[in-house]
Amino acid sequence: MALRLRLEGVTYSYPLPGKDEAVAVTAVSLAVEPGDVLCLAGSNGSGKSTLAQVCTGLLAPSSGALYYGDERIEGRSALREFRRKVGLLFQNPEDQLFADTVEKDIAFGPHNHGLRGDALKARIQESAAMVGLPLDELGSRSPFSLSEGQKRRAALAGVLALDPEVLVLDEPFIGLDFEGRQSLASALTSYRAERGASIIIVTHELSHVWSLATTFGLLSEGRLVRFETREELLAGETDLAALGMQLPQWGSLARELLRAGVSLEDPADPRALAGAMAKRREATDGR
Amino acid sequence: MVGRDITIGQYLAAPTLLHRVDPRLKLGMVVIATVLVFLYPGWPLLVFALTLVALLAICRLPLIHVLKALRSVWVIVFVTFLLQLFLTPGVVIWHWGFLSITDSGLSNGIIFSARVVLLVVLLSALTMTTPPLRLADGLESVLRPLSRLRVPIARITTIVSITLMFIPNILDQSSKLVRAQMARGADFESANVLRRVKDVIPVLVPLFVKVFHDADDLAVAMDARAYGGGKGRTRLYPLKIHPTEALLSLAFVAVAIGILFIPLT
Repeated sequence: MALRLRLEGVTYSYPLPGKDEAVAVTAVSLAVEPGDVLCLAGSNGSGKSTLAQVCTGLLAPSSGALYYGDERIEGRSALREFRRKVGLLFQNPEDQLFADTVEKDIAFGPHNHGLRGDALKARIQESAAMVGLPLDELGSRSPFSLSEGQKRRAALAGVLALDPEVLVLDEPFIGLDFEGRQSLASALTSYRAERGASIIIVTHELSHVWSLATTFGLLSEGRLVRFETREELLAGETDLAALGMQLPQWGSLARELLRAGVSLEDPADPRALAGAMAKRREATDGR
Repeated sequence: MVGRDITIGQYLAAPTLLHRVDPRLKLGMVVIATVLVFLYPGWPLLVFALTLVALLAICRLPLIHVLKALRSVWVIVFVTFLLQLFLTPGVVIWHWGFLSITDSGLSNGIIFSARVVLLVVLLSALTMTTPPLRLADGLESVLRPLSRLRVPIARITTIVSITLMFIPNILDQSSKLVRAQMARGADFESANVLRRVKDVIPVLVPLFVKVFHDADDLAVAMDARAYGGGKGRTRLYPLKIHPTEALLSLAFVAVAIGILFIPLT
């Protein structure tokens, strides 16, 4: 079961040649409760990937603090210990895959954490099953010979095999077809439900996480501009276009229906929207 | 983190005098200085080192950045020093077991390791103040006479410039890969050297895959933009030597050669 992950006034700067540095994230404070799915959304260069790596302890904040539960994570050993509880899926699966077979690649993380023998085999099977990767067919193949979607699944299986309490995913839906996106979303939903894990998803495309996320953190130029729920986004107080983003089509439709006074049970469910539209049409035609 | 401190081969954009000097002059100065570094005996080598540092300081090149380049070669410098120190015959000044240090060993150790340091500083100063494409243009211009002997100069200089451009890319990529594997429990900070060496493999394999992919993509992209081996290619910014630059370069070479004749022992 995950604990509360909290950033307090975190700034991160990348060193540049000479004495300069590039500030990627400025004074960000956020909290992710156990079981939350936080979407960190922003346009290109808004600092979301850097923030994701700060959340995993891979980049130590230049200033500010990272807390997990009540413990402040600072110093090498604390960061190393914290990283054991967090899994990070990189945007490009080829940044993670390296072993000569898919099975060995999935085993890399849990093996590093000391898992051996049957327990290791069981963990590999379980993680591959969770992402829908047929190990009997692909387990002995080179990960580099897989299709893009399969590579993404193999990389995710390698991360889930660590049994992380907090899962951080950097643009996980990019490059996946509809089926791939659906299967990834359902894998994340079941992992969250089974393990009580917190999930942080970094994306520039709100439509990919519209129904999955419980909270949306909107980033612009390295700053966390606002936190909003789906309902608050639908209320339209924030100008998403100014942040280089837009509501997904289903979201825009839900917003129009809400503005027209239609009550929606679940604005993220396309079937609920279609039902509400049909009812409204019937009511209009009947008049 | 891997790559952060490796500055050899990296260009540093800055408004210094050396940045403005024509790449052909800089190449000439580096070649002559390299030859002289091997010709200087003891004290002239120190005088040249001081002259070089003064020149870089006058040109306002960040010396810390130049010295950072040495971090990646300190092992070579150290091994050079030790080999000369213990293996040069001469008058023994210290002895312990089978190890003995001679007066010639000590002076040779200092001179040879100083030569390696100076070569690194010279090359870093060249790559730090010359964008890879300008350097390739300069190299092509200097080597052009060889094309009469059917040496494919244009292709060679393209290879050199692409290699130089790829260095920062590879360093960035390796940093990213290190973080990706650290997220999966790889330990690059472990005191256990064997563990650290073992954990380098998960970085090298994807790094090579990525570099080969990138190289392949680049070749296709160059082909798609009608790259034909560089023959008959013109320059957007033709190289031009300003008289002041030529005079300054000549002055540097004259001073460097003059040091050779200073009657120091």
